[in-house]
Amino acid sequence: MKIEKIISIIFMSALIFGFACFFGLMFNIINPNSILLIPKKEIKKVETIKKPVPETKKPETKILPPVKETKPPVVEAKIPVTREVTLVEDNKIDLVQAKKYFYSGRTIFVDARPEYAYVERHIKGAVSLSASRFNLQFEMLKDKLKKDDLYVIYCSSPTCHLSDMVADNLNANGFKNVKVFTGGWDEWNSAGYPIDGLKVKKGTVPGE
Amino acid sequence: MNKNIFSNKKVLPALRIIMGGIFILASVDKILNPSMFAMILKEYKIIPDIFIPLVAITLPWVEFFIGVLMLANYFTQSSALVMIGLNIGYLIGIILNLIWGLVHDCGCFTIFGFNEPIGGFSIARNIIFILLCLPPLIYGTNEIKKKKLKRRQVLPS
Repeated sequence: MKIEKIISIIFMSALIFGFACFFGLMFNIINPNSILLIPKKEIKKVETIKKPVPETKKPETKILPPVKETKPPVVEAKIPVTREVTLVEDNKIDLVQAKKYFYSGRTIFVDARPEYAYVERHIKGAVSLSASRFNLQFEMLKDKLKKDDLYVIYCSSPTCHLSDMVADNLNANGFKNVKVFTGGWDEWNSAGYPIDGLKVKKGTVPGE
Repeated sequence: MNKNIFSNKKVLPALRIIMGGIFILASVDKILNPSMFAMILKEYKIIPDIFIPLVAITLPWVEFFIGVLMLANYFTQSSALVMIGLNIGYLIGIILNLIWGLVHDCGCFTIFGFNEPIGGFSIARNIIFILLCLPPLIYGTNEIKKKKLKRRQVLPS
């Protein structure tokens, strides 16, 4: 192949790519399911949730009070970032707290992992709201979920952030009582607490 | 000597139709539901959050256009090149996520509600797609004026 031909192929590829991108952006304007190019709303949500926390109600802030007191005066230029971090930290719970909530019987556990993982194994009584198919699954479960209940979201491990995404989505839909179980499925399973699913042998000790 | 099975007049169009069809099918659901595709892209954790909406809006259209061009036999080589580039990108994304231990929905073909997790199957499929795109890239044509010129040359004589 001649160099000129190769260059023309690459040039045409770039042209097709550019045209398709432009067409996509134009289509997004008329698409009924269009999305915002710049996600502005997320920052606003964080700010509105953050404000009442230090002033009025303390039960939510008991977990990490020193963090909130020290951070605002230190970093003033990066307000949205620090607020986002503290908000997430407020919602985090560990295995002991998760267990307490589980046995209280008034908490709904939400599995943020992909559906196939949920079907195989999950925390007993949990519902599936996977991060990637949240909208579809939420539509189906919307009527059954009450906004006043406490929701504990879990993912596979502490490094998995799908639970944060699902928690944000639930917050955006008006569910304010949402906690994130950081240890997630791995911690719960290795602790031997109740689990369920297709691959869980019935009548045996949970936790594999 | 230059001619082999892949430059065959029946094999090459077949490959074009297969790859064009696959890319169109893969793109339709993503075009209609960009928010869902954005969520899947977010799970991959390889694109900065700021660019996710832009990629979620534009990438399905790139897939759609190159699929249509491939089917129509226009700019086949360029379309094949973009297909290979996209597949290499997907492959890198999947492998990186598997290395990081992030197993989630592939987001590859959501049109029939078919959701498979990333893994060996999706890696193998992407490699096959890359291999299937090679013959159109090498033996396909990128010129659409040739046929018209020939006709013009024939008519006066």
